[in-house]
Amino acid sequence: MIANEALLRVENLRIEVPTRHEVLTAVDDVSFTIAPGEVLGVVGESGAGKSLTGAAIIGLLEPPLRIAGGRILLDGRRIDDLPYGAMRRIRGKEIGAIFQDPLTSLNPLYRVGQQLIETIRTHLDLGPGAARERAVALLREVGIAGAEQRIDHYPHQFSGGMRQRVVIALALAANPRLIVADEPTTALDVSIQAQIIALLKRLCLDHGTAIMLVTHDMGVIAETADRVAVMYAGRIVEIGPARTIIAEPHHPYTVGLMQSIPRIGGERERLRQIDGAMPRLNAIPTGCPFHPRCPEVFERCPRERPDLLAAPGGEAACWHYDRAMAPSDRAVHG
Amino acid sequence: MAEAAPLLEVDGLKRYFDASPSAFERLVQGKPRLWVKALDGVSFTINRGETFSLVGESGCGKSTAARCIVGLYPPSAGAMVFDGIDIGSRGRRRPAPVQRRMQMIFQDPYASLDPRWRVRRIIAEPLVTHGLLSDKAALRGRVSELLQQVGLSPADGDKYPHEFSGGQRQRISIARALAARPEFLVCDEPTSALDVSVQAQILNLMKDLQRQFGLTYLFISHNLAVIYQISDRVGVMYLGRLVEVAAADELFARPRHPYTRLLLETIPRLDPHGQREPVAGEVPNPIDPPPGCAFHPRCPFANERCRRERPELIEADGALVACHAVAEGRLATDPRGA
Repeated sequence: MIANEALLRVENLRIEVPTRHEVLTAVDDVSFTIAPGEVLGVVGESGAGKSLTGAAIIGLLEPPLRIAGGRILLDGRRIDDLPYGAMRRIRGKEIGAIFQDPLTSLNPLYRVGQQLIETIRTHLDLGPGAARERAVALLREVGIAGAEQRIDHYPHQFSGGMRQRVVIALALAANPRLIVADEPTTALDVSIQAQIIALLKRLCLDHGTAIMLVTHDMGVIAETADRVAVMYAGRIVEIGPARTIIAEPHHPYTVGLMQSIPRIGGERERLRQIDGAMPRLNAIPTGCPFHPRCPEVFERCPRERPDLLAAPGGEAACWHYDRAMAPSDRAVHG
Repeated sequence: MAEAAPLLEVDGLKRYFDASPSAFERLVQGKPRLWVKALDGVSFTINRGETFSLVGESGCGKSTAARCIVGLYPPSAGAMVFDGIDIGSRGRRRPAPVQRRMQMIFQDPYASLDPRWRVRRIIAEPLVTHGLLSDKAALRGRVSELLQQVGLSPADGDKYPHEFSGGQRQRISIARALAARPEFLVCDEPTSALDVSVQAQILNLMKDLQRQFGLTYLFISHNLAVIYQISDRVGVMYLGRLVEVAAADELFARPRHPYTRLLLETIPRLDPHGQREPVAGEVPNPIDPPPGCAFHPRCPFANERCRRERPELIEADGALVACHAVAEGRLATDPRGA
C-alpha cells in the first residue's frame, strides 16, 4: 500500500567518485520518497550532494561519478540500472528537468519553438501542426505573453526570467509526472524569483506533478516545499514537513543553518554562525559527520554514525533522538 | 558626525558603455550609436566609519558605481571626491597614495585570486606594489598577522588558493584588501557566492574588522536581508539611478519609493507557505529606458507626469526619494511592522 503511494522512491543511494588515489563517497546512503503532487525540497550547502542526487535520478551523472549502491524506483519500476536508450525515453517523458542557468539549457542556435516541438514529438505521438499548437499552449501556460509570436524567437531574445519560463515549458512538454528542478531560481532577481516560484506551484497543483526542488535557498523552500530533506556531507541529516524544518528544526546542523540566515527586522548586531566548514569528501569525520562542528556533541557522536531517527514531526540523524538512550544523556534542545 | 566632512562624495556620476553597431552598419545602414547608460547621474556621500550600501536588481548599475569609485572604470561624467582629493578626473592616473587608501573585495573568490600564486604572495602584493614593506622578514610577519586577523593560520600562507573553500578564499581576499591598511573598502557582493552559514562568518568578520580598524565600507548586494544586517545607510538603485537613500532602519521600517516597496515585498519569507505576491514585469532594457521615471511601467501609482518627467532625488521626511507620487503626497508612507 505504502509502496504504491510514492511516485519516486530512492533507497540507500550511494554515489562514488573514483580519484587517482582512492574512491570517494559523494552521496552516502540517501533514502527518500516523493508522492504525486508533492514538492520535496532538498537543501544543503555546496558539496552536500544535493545536485548529484538529482542528477542520479534523471540519469545524468557525469562519469567518473557512478551509482555504487541502492536503487531508484519511479512508480515501482527500477530506473537506476536502465541502459542509456531506455533512460533517454524516460527522461523528458516521465521525468522533466529544470537547471539553474536557463541560457545553458537552451540551444542558442534554434528558435524556442523548434526546441519545444522537437521535445514534444520525441515523446508524444503528435504531428507537426499539433505539436506546434501544444508548444504555443505551453508557452502561454508558463506566462509568456504573445506566445504565437514568441515561439519563433531565439533564446537570446528572451530575458533571464522569460528564458527560465521557456525551460519550464520544455520540462513540461511531455506532461512528466516528476520534475527535478536544480536551483531553478538562483540565477534570477528576487522579483522574478517570486514569479517563477508561483508558476511552479501552480503547475504542481494543476497537473499533479511531483517536484524535487534542489536549492540552497531556505526562502524558496519555505514558500514552495511540502517536505524538506536537509543534506550535509553526502547524507540526509534531517527530513520532515517544511513547517517543522523551518520553525523547529531538530538536527543541530539545521538549527545552525536556520540561525545563520540573515533576516530583516530584529537584532542586527551579529549573525549566528556555525564555525568551521563542511568537510571535504576525502576527510569526512567518523560517526556523525557534523560532530566536529556540533555544539551539542557527546561521546557517542564521533564513534557511531546515526541513522535517521524519529524526532517530533520528522526524522533527524542525530543521537540526541535515540529513544534507547538514557534520558540523562539527552540534551535539551533550545 | 554631521559636522565632519564625508570620506567620499559622489556627484552626478555617469558611466555609459558603447553598445553601438559596427562602424560599417552605422555608415552603410545608417544605424544610430547606442549607449548603455549603466550609471546615469548618481550622487551620494559616505561618512567615515559607516557602511553605505547600494542595493538593486542585476543591471541596475550598482557594481558599475563600485568600479568607478575604485578606479577600475573611468567615469563618463560626474565628480568624485575622496577625503578632499579629486579622484573623478578623466584620463589622469590616480596618485598611488590615494589608491592605497581604498581597496576592493570582489564577488567571486575563485576568479579574484591568482591560482598560480601562493597565498602569502597574493596577500603581500599590495604591500610590494605600494612599496610599503621591502624587508622579507617584515613582509612575512605582516602577512602572518593579516592571516590571523581574518581567521586563518600563518601556515596557510604557503598554500595555493585551490586548497581553500569559497569562504576561506574570501577571507584571503579580505586579508589582501587590508594589507595596505586602507580606510575604505568597496565590497561588491562579497558573500553572494557563499553558502549561508559561511556568509554569516564573513559578514561577522567584516563587522569585527570595521570596528577594529575604523573602516568605511561601500557594500554592494542584491540581498536585502544582508543589506539590513550590515548597513548604516542604504541607496536603492533602479536602471542606473538612485531612487531612494535612507538610513537602514528607516528604509526597512518605512520604505517610500514604490520600487523599494516592491523589493521588500518580493523577499522570500521564512514562514512556510507565507506566499509573497509576485509582481509582474521586469527591469527594462537599459539601452532604451522608459521616458520619465524609469520605473513607471511597473509602478501601480504612475500617472501622466511620471511617464513624462524624470523625478529627481528630493528630501521627504528624513530620506531622499526620487518619486513624483511621494513628492505630491499621492502616496501614503507605508509603515510596516518589521
